[in-house]
Amino acid sequence: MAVHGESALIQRVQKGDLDAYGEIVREYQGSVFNVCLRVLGNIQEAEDLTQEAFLRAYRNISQYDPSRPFGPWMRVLAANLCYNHLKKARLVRVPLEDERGLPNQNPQRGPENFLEISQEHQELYQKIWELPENQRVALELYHFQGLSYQEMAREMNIPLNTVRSHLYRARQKLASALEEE
Amino acid sequence: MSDQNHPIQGDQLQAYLDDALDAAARAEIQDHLEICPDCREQLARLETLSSHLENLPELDLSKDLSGLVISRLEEENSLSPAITWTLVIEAIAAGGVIAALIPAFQAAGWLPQFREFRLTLSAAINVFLTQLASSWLVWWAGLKLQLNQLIGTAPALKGLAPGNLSPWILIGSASILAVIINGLLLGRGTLPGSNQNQMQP
Repeated sequence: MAVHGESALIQRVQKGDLDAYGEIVREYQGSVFNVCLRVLGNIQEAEDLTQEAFLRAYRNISQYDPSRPFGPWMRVLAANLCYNHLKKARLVRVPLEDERGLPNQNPQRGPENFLEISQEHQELYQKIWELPENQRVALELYHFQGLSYQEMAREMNIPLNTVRSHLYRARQKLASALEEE
Repeated sequence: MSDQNHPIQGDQLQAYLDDALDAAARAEIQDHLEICPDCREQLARLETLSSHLENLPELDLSKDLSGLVISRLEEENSLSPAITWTLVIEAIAAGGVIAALIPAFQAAGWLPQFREFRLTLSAAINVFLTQLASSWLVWWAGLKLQLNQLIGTAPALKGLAPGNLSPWILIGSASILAVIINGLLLGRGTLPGSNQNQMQP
């Protein structure tokens, strides 16, 4: 979507034009779904949170600055929503022996093209989903959304050193997993 | 790299890779990398991982969610004005009832049959009015949520959003209201007593 076209669409959305918002949703739903799927590791939850993220974005659209690209704003909003969802789920979940927060889905039941991607990439997805929640979110915000350490600390509401630590541990685990292949 | 005595730790290498170091720290690590094969290997591992993550293909969303999102927003938009105006009317009605009941209960304290129970009655009125004021605040909180949703869809009205009202202003207003009510009750409460003394033979 051309930047000026997107900006015009967003301005229509800010005036309450739902048809324009439908176009925005169709444009970004794929990338937002992938953010949710990488963080949550569960197809159904990822679809639900994708919808919820677009609903929330619409309700807060007056806070969005149309001079900046919509995609990154939307995807960080989705990642943040998933992070909060995981934190809430952890609070109500009965504590398990394994506190790593493993995703509760079988990824083989995943999107239709999951089995079409290379074995190496399938395994990388599996390893990402096996990371503890905080590390998964840190990885998402840094590697996939391009946030700085400071921005991640603000989004995750945790100290800068903790951000570095989550990211470092996530990378060490994934790097070791890649070497084992 | 897990060796705590090693001059460069893994998280420093990470910061080096992410270009999150100042010039001096960066130069120090560059110098170290020239003489340390372990750190070079570690850095290469992190770079390989970054490359893998960068090339990770996205997965397909199996259905179009736009219809669901838009229909939910249409539903919210159609409900909001009705709920909002119901809450506005309820809040105004509640405020009106409070305003009307204050003088009514104060007047009741002057009725001859209540003279003996003036203090008890004043305390009961206080409790009742406090509860009414609390209920009104709860109504107002619900109203704020609805008004925010409604006004959020109309940018021209953004400045009027009640969400801009600090909760401290609400709490402060409620406290001032309570003080005024108590002041009125106590002020009025002394009059019947003094009249009563004057009327005693």
